[in-house]
Amino acid sequence: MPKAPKPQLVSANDLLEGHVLYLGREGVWTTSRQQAAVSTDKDELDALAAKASATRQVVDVAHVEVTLEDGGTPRPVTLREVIRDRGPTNRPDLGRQADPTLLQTGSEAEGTAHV
Amino acid sequence: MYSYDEFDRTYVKDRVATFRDQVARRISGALTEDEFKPLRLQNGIYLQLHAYMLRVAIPYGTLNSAQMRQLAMIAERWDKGYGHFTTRQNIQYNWPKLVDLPDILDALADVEMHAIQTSGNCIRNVTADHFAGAAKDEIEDPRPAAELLRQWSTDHPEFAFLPRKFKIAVTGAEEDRAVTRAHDIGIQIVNNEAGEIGYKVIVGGGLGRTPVVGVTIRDFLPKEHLLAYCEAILRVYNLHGRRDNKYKARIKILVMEEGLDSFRAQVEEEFADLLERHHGPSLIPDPAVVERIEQAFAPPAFETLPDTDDALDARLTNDPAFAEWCQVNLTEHREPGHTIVSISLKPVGEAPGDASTAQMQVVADLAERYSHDEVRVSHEQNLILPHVAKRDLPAIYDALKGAGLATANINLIGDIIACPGLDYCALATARSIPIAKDIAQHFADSAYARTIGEMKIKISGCINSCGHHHVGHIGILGLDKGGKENYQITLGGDHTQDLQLGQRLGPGFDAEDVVPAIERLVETYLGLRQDKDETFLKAVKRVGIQPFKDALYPPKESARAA
Ligand code: HEM
Ligand code: SF4
Repeated sequence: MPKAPKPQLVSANDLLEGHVLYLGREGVWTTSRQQAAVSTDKDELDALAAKASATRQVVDVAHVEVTLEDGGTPRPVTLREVIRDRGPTNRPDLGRQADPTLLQTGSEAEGTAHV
Repeated sequence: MYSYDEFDRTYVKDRVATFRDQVARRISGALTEDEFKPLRLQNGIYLQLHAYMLRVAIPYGTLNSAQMRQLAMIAERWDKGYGHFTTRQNIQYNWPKLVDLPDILDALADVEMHAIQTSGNCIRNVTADHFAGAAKDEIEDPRPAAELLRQWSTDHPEFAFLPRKFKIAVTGAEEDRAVTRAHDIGIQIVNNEAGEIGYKVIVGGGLGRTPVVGVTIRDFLPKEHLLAYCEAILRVYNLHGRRDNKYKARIKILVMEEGLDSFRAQVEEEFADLLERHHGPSLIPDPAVVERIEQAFAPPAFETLPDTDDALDARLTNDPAFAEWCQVNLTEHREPGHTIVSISLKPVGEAPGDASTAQMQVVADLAERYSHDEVRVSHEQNLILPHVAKRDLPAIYDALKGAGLATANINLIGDIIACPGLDYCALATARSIPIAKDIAQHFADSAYARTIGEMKIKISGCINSCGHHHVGHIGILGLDKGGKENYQITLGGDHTQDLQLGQRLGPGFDAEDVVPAIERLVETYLGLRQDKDETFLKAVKRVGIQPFKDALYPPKESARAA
């Protein structure tokens, strides 16, 4: 029996600035992971991404496996994607984790606790 | 210092202008990402996890103060206030924006620097001994040879699309501080029996997933044949290197598959052919050009100084921290009254190799004032003031201390090489920096570190081995084991002229178990060494890895587990 498909979102990097973006539910690229479109259907996400390509130029588009918290906020599963979402673990002053406009939800605060 | 001539200047500025145009066309949509990516890579621009990354070449690791100041300025103006010095004598900026990159490259060109050939399957930045021109054990300064190789290999039309990346290192001293045996070509300056100076040529070394110790293809090459011989090696490689499989594409695989004798015969044939035919003359450099390059690296006008200094002696007696720093961070200079200062970029709590804008500025000022305007970047991710009068040591130390740069740990357990790992790198399987920080923290007691003595810990965040783990006395390789970071430990690697690959001790460790494992290895060493002159590496060479294996994986415990 094939495994049940896992929830995913689509992420990319902004062409001009290089920073991490997520594909929003409205089909627009956003810095907010909370607003990311989550689906178990890859094709559905790809169709949304194709539509979004006009809104902002992005590079390195990739699917990212997530889990959904109680409030529905998607959290990346792999450490790589957690770090990509937050910033370098040795420098809490850098990356998305240091940006007050990208409010972190409570359960993310523990984030990538130092090894 | 080598300085650009009009041709160099125009070439580098033109490249920036071309790239500026390419960036504009990418932003307007005229170029697709598929079209643009190779163009940005040709200018040293990668995309990592959080942002773009710019890799700037520091040829043979030599900078003047104006260049160092410019690197600091770039970090401040266009990046996040720091840069990362790497094992390949490059500096990497981790946060530049695409729109700013043409301006950054322009600013680099203003101080005769660039990022050309810091990516891709071409001949990369030529590296050299960081003590070049200063070390007491040196036969000849390796930098003129490195500069000649740099000029020959830059934009060489035939070698722009090799089967894989190609790295050349040059050393002029008996002690190999440039890891030449882990390079595609290693050049060692030697004397032959007649007392002439020439090159020993080593080929086919490399780290990565298949680490190989380079082998000597030529014991003695006359100096004028350096380029012709390297061209011959590159031609054989370019023709026969495996393009069908990325993992088998490095020259080391070709040399292993062909066998050294057969490979050498092909190179010698190509070499003879090159010398005889039309390419030959152009590959024997014009003596006037060689003369100009050698002049650029002529030793600075050293003062005649006594080997001791009263004020220095007084400070040494009265300031134990200063005395310790002098004992640990200085290397003998060829000139009396002078010394080589290594500046550790491994203070406890920081990422190995990172330097802030302010720190780079302090080092630039010190170089200008006290080191004949020279700074070096070592493959061990430290900075060096190569030509310092001993009398100036107190002033230098005080300035370094004020900048958080006076850590006295060169060659000790805290002097760890670590690649960026999963905190930055898109290829990583685990983090490196936090492991390095944990180890440095654990062994922060400098008395304990000095008791342990010389120790090279080298950490990579994936099998690509950018952190040289294969040749660490203790090597640490970060892997992903079922979604969790896992660290394999190797022992007995040696990065010197006796290059040796470390041996794996056993199954890997979780991140939090790495420090305790290192502590057990250290305790085992301290327990079995014959005396304090027997370094960790010497002890491992004498007793083998078994006692260390037993310390990490106690036989009893595994019996119980079974
Ligand atoms: C964007 C970041 C980087 C990428 C994509 C990258 C990629 C790679 C790859 C793929 C290899 C393996 C080559 C092979 O085995 O054929 C390699 C080797 C190596 N890299 Fe990196 N690297 C990066 C950063 C660095 C850094 C930061 C350093 C220095 C700290 C470095 C120094 C080296 C060295 C010394 C080797 C091994 C020597 C050899 O090529 O055999 N690299 N790198
Ligand atoms: S060793 Fe791996 S993780 Fe480290 S810099 Fe190289 S490619 Fe990245």
